[in-house]
Amino acid sequence: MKNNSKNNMIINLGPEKPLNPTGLSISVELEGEKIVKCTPQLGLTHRGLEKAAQDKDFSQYLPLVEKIDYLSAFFYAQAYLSALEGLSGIELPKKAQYIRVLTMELNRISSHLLWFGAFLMTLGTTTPVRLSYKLRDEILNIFEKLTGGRMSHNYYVFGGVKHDIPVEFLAEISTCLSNINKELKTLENMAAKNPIFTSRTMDIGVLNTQNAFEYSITGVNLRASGYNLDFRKEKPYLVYNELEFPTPTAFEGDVYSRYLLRIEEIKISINLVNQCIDWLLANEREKYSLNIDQNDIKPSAGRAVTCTESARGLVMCCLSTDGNNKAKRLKWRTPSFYTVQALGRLVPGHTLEDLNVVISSLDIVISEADR
Amino acid sequence: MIKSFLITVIIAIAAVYAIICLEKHIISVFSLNPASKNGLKQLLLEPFCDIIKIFSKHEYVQKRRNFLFLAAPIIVFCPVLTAFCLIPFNQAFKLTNFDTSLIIFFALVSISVIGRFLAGFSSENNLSLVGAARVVSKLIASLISIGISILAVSYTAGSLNIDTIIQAQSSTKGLFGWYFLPLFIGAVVFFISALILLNTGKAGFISAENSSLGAYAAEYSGIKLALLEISDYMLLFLFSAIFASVFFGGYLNPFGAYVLPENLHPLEQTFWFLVKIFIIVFCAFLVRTSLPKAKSDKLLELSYKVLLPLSLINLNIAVLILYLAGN
Amino acid sequence: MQIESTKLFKTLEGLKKGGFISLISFVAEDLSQNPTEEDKFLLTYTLYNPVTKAFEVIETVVNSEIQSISSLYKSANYDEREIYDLFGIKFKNHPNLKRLFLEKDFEGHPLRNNYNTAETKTGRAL
Repeated sequence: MKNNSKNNMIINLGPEKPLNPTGLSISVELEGEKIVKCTPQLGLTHRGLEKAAQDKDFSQYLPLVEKIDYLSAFFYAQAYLSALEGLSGIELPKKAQYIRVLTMELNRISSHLLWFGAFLMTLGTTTPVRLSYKLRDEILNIFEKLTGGRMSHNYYVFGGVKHDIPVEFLAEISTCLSNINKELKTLENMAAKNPIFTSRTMDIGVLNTQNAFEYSITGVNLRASGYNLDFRKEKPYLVYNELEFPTPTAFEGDVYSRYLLRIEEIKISINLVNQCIDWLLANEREKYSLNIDQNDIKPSAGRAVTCTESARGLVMCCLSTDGNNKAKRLKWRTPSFYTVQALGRLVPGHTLEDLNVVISSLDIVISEADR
Repeated sequence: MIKSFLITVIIAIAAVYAIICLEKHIISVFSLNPASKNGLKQLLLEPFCDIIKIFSKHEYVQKRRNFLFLAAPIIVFCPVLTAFCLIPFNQAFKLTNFDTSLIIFFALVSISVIGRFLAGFSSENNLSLVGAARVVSKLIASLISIGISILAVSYTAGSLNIDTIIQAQSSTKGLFGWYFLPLFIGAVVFFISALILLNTGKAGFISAENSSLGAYAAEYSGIKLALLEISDYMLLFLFSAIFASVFFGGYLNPFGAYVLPENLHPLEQTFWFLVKIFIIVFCAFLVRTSLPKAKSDKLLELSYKVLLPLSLINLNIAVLILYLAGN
Repeated sequence: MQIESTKLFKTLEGLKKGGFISLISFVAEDLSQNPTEEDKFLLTYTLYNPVTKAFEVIETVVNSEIQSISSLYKSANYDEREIYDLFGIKFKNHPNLKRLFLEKDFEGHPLRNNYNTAETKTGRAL
């Protein structure tokens, strides 16, 4: 046991914890029952993906892009490809843009459903995990039928998408989503009306907007603190400026409001997917890809920065090319990197049992923080 | 004596086996995850697979081990195994017949729970120390309330012998002569306090999560960990048995009169006893699957501010009943 | 906006007072072409003003050292550690300039152009 001169106890909570962000190693310093200092340690899943972009072609790098965050594969692929398409000066056909928006919003729903199960698991219940995994499984089956892979798809290509979505499949997506909509009320009430749950999550892990901006936190964590910043509306990409969707905010910034906000986001995403399905049903015969040879991607020299709003926050792809078929420098700005940094500020003041709840409410995925 | 020991061990193993199978089935049904396709055969064979798996696990040992670290699982396991001989399954077959068997039972349970504290303390790991401290705080909080409600029951029955308490509940009124009706508050307090006391493992498996629920066993693996887990199941069975005996009439028939002929009475009594234990275990698992885990300080608040005064009220009711019955 | 590295801290301080309180991203790039050339890195800061909802991009070219801005923007703490880890740029007055991702005794800075993964001692070829 290590004690410093003030008789504080140091506990190392190692990287292998079931169903919490695996790979996050934390060292907390306890004074009595309260945590005084919290030091996360990153780097356990560092794979050097930014260096890999300098050794591989653009099309060879595309499968690696989806592995940065295994839960938001479509978002990262979109960020990467839109940087390439911006530098090459091509514009995607409308149908490809709608298909991309549809798959990205489905990805957002499945990521939030997984977060829901993992979050309630840290509180001690085991039942909601099974329910949310059952719903998520239906979405993953849709992905498998459409692209061939459940979590890593290889569906987006430079210039559009690989294959078309047949019209009968759109009806299947629609029924799956209405099923999820029906179960959402159960999911929400499973925890929201329960007094044990509310006493464990209200006024815990409060993040106010000043701290959120200092630590450059975006996404749901920022919107739950009171500031409405959604990069789908701030810097619209693809066809988001043609779709109608609200961006709700909460004001307390605690764990409970983040929970409610993510459930709201699932509902908004379902609405967005239904709007895309309506457009796709009306415009069946459009082109879905520009049919560019994938081995021959050579964007012009320059720099491009794209912003995408993924399930966890803002994803930026900063690409710098010099006319060859390899990138000169590719930088990923990932949201979890900054959320991990904010842990050192959010966690002190809580007890050891709240630590788990606070960390899992922030929706950290370590593989995107480490890259 | 060897015969009694063997019988105790067999009863204990059968009880643990039944509870493991029940737990898997009940939790899978309540978690909306139906049991696997192979059904009953797989369910009944699973505990054997678990045992073989535990024997084959590589045990990670620390560099410096002290005697307490090795002795703690034994201190946890043996008293609980001994407590199985205190339960009367029917009128004819009793392994022991002490006059103060209720107090002996709680003494053995306390030794076992202190053993968990030793396990966490001797692990030389800060996280285990925190978990061990929580175990002790829960033990003290719940045992006070349990003790006072047991006191009320023993006043009403006139003895601390479990068998005598069961016999004192037998009457022609059957179900309505049991102690859970006049001492309803005591029954509720006992049940909730027992759940708090048993809340040391996580979903039946002591996994060392940093929710510090099973953290006292963070350094244990292999057979030592299996002993700690099995004693958790045994405690659940024992508490249900005591709860059924003390408040719900033990092996007594709820109809008052026996249905079967005279020489089959023991069988019928054992049947009713097992049915009651099954219902109580079912309720315990129901609470475990449907509610999230409350924080430690809330549980302690509940214990000291709500359950303790209620058990004292219960004691007053018991004394009042005795006074009125005496007059 | 291109700024010299010596004036960077004052400029960012002024911008922070002017309302740009959030450092959204901080990117470094190795500008040197051949291994014999001197180190030359391009740092890009993207700032955000929540009140006017405006973005501001500041660029600067450094050789090896620059003043740290972690006292102004808290999120720059990990960013600068990552850049030190992968590029070798030192930040003066940083509270805790240690490697973030790689091991403590790792030799070299991988994202530089003259770091060839297949040829270094500890290199792990991709």
